[in-house]
Amino acid sequence: MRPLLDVMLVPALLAALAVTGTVSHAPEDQGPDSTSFIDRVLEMVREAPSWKHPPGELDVSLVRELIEQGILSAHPASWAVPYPEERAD
Amino acid sequence: MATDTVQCLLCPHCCVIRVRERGVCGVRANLDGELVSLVYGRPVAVHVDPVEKKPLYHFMPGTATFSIATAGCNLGCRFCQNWEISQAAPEDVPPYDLPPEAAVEEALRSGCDSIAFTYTEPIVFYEYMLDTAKLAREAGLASIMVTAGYINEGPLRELAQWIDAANVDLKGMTDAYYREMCYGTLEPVQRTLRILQELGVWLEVTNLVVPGWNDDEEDLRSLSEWVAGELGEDVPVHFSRFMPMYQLTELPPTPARTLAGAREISLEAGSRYVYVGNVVVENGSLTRCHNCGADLIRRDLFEVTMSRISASGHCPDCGASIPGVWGTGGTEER
Repeated sequence: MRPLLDVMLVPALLAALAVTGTVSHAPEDQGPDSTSFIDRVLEMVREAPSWKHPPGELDVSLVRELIEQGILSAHPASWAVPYPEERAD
Repeated sequence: MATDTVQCLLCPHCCVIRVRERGVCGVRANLDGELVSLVYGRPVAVHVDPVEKKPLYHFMPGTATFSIATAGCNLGCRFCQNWEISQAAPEDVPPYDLPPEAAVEEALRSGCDSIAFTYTEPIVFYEYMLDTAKLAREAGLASIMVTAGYINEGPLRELAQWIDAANVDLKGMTDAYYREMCYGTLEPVQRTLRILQELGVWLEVTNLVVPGWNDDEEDLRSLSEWVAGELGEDVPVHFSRFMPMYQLTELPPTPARTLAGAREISLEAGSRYVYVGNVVVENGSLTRCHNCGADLIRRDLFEVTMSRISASGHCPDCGASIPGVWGTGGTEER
């Protein structure tokens, strides 16, 4: 799975850039406008949706195939406990 | 009554993971009711680096470290410098086949003095790191962990026995910053720093200074006072320059003057060894004796160009003990 960024944040950034007319990285040590530029970018980022995947579905058949091929491992993980049924629901 | 659902207690997310799901880290998956690591012995990045690149400036300077990382991370920093692998699922990045035994053999063959678990977040490949670190110690290699420190106390205490040095990324000093920027929280990171120090792991701290996010004087002073006050004046601090990356490509790089200012604030707060990384700042990578001010180690990028610290870790001019792990290095000019 790829980060949600690819589909959500980049278009937001591009749209905002179209408004500001900025097309390249802002130069270091900018002049008086730098604060407002940064503020605009920060505002965009803050308004962007959550970007990190929550615990997510696995393509089990793909993963099993990759494990069989030795590309991925299936090493027992430590620090894991069964989760009670009544709480799982 | 138990089901096939499991809960991972490795890190503070404590993911509840149903069958055919994975945790936030992307690499710990529930297959038929058993939690497995998909990345054990499967690093996606393998390099020989100078230890200064981690950065560790007071730990075996001038030595090479065998550096490995798997895919995955339990945080989601918007500024991540290695996001192509840290935020990727393991099935999307072709890995090497490098079990712990082979990692140690390769490290020795490469002439390295240590193995570094780095680049992404080594906590997510916990079992691989732990087994490799145990073998490394048997082979006379040190183990280094470069981490954001987002781990629960039990696993950390088990792991820390086998780790010789750590650079912990303290990303900011507010919970809001961690939640908004990093998909995490602050308190577990502070706990990790305290525990590593308590257990005698050599510790250095890095703070990435991001324009507009954590770069005002109050932020920097708060962080500096916490490090000097809680961890002590001998813990080296690295202020690192942000470069436009991942989700913050339209922010400017951190101005050099901001980093120089951060260094001054940290020195004022009491830290005795404060450095600036990713950019050249006057004295930003120079180690000076805290007692007499003599130049002890000069660096050019990641290369040690001069070292005058004695093998026992003392200033040759005044005899002060310099905090760090100095290994077999002797007094020399290069």
